[in-house]
Amino acid sequence: MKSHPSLPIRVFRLAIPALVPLLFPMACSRDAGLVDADQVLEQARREMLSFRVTEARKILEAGAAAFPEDSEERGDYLYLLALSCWHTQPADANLVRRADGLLVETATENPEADYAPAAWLYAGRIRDIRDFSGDIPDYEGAREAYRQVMERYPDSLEAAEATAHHAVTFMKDTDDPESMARGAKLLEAWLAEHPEHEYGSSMALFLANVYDQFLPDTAKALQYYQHAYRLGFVNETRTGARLWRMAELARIENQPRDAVTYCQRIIRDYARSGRGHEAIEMLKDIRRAHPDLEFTIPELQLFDIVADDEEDEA
Amino acid sequence: MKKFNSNWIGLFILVAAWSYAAVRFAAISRDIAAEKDPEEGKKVVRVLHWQLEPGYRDGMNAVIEDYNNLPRVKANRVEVRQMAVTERVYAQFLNVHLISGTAPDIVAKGMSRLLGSGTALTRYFEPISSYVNEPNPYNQPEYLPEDLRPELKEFLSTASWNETFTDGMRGGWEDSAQDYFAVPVSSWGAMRTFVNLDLAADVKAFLRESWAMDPQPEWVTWIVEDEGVLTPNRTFLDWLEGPDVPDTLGRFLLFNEAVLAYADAHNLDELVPISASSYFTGTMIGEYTVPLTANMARGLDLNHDSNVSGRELLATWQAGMWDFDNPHLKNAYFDLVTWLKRYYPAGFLGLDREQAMRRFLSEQAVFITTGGWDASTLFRGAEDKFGIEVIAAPIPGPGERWFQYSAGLPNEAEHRLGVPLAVNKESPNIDWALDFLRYISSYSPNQKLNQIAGWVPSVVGARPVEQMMAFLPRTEGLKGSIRMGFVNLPTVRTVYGGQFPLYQTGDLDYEAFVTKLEEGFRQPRTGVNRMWVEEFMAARDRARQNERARVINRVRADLRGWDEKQFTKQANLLEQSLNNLDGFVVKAEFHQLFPDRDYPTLD
Repeated sequence: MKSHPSLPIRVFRLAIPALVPLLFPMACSRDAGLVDADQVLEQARREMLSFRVTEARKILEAGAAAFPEDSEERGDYLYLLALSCWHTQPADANLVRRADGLLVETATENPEADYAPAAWLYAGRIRDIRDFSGDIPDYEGAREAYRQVMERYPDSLEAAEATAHHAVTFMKDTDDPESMARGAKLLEAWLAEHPEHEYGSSMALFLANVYDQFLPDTAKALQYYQHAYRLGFVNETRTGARLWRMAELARIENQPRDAVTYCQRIIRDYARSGRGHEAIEMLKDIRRAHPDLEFTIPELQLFDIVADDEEDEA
Repeated sequence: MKKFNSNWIGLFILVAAWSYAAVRFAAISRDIAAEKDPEEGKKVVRVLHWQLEPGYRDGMNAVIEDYNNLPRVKANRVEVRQMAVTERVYAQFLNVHLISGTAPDIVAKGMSRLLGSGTALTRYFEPISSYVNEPNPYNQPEYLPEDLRPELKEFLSTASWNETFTDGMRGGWEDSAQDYFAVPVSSWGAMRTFVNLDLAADVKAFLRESWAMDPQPEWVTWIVEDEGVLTPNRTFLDWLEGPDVPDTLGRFLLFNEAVLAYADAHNLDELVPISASSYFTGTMIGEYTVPLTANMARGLDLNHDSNVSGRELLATWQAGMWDFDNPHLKNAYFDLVTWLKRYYPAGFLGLDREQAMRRFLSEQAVFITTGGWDASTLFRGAEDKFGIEVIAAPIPGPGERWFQYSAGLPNEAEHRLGVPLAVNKESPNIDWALDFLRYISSYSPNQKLNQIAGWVPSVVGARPVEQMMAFLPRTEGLKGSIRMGFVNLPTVRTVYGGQFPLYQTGDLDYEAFVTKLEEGFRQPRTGVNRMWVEEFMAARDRARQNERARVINRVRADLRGWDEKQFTKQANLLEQSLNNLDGFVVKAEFHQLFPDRDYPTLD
């Protein structure tokens, strides 16, 4: 016999939906009522910038009526909707696939739009990385999207990013011992053509790491570290550790003058890396090994916490 | 008669609880609204933290009072208030208020797992990178003491805000989000050992007498001749005659043995050499990880990033690049574990932090090792009772046991400042919150806060109280992240964490301990294989988080224009993405070590 819920349970079931708008009035009203296209885009962007991507997507979906097919803002709308679908958390297979489709659609229909290269790049990234449990990367599809950026928008920043990710798709085949070298060659060719590019330092550093760790070639590793160093390291917080590795490599490659330079910089500018004391010891070692080499060993000055009166007493 | 339905009770409780919560919510909302209203109430800026150690709240209150009395602050009817919540419930308290949008204006970042990633931080806290490159207005000459050294004055008033911190503000930097999120206002300094000087003097006299006996007591000949912990040379005899506390590991162990004999001779049943506990800094062995294992760990830094990670440690063990028969481990580090255990109180793993402190303060132990956060408690507790000296962990001296393995003490130049205060994104008073953070991290207020609290200031040139000078970071020595950091092992951490206490207490000998560890490491579903699976998964998740951060940075830049800051951020995130190979860096590492093996799975 089918049992019916008791009266208190029925009251409870009725009460909960009634209480929700009372408890969460903001949440219930948030997505409703936005009809102005600029307003929808602005609010969605604001949510995106605060990493509230799901909220951004809901706003965009609720405001879809403001972006008919012939509207000027429809491209921007689809691009933003695609990004919000892609980065909704937790990731959802349908949303991620929808994002891919929207990015390709909007980039194809609006090839001159500012966002077009980024749209192709992100279509590539969606295919390239694992977005959700069970997501199987499609490297061939990713390369195709990257090629779109590289060929259609070769001077864009996105083209440089696409080149790097294109190379990495080969490196990910770690079962194949040649794959790392294949990817590295592609990047080397790009860096040779764009030695001063805005992303040149990051690319060179990546190549230095690849040659240092996976394709043991200390000469090439040092060469690319030096390339990045010449352009300026992008990540200041890790510069000390990188200079230390450069000093080690320079000694291996019998370039003591360079090793001296890197050690001196660690002591003067990056002592907070924790390598300051060892840099002094390395300089002493170089001095013993190369007495003809003239250089100074700077003093380590890190924590200026000595009180005035103590100094005066001294 | 119809039976009473007990579900009515539940419904009644539910309705009553909801009604009570609704009334409370309305009342609190009204109060908050009144505080926000400049016409009727004040702008209240609340500061939330968990530093309940003696003195910290007093220091914070003193600085808050000074700030609240600044003419500009008074004129704008702003008032800063402190909220201190115990660390036992801090995470829950913070999580609830962040999610509900009612978190205080300024929050000590930490404890909460909700804030574990850069994207989560971005969601709840105001990024402050755009402010840190400007000088701190409260470090301008009119706010600095007149007698301050001219060059320090010049530096503080012209340097960018982040450069005025002794750690370059790294304590507030979030690498995965490429932004500063917090202003660290204090440092607890480094780990040090506290010595009860009065007890130490008595024991030293006892040791001196024992040494002069003919024949020497059995415990002296055992530790010196049989165990060879030190060589009784001229420098040792000079130390023995002088008043100094132990300054080498050999002398330290001999001294501890003397404490046991002294306690025995004087029927002091409760007296032990070292007050140890189960607290994470409760035993001294952590201080010897770098000194005794750094020389062994060189060469295990596979990616040359100046850090031997837990993954590298396990991967290189699996690849046979080291084993537990290595003398740095078997003859030195793990040997010392059992030596130190001799000097801990019985059942030390059942004792907590407070019990260990109480033992030291009631003069039932000569030594205790802890961080600067406990310094003020220990100094205040010992006041008028006994003298304290603070020393670094003694390392093996020339001619002493383990000297051949010693790499010396690590330097502490990489220290990160603590009490990182972040600004809540939902705060209605973001500008005032930032203004207060500039104030509390300027020279004079920061010095005042930390002198009252008994902590180490975070501002360059600011002076701690005399007793905290010993906690200033050491700048000499090796980099501290090249070591066998077993406590950082991923995945099999519980294997190590389960077996190590048994070894430490003597329930397992070294061979049995290593056998258990290696069995745990080799378990196909829970051991090193699982580590590879989980590390790969985690690295791929990081790739997605990185992608998210890059996408949103690009949206911001497209909206507001690409400036240097946005561009640097984008380049940094790209660099991280490439070096992570979208997570495949873990697989590449595996195949580099094991070119002929398939990547592990849990199937």
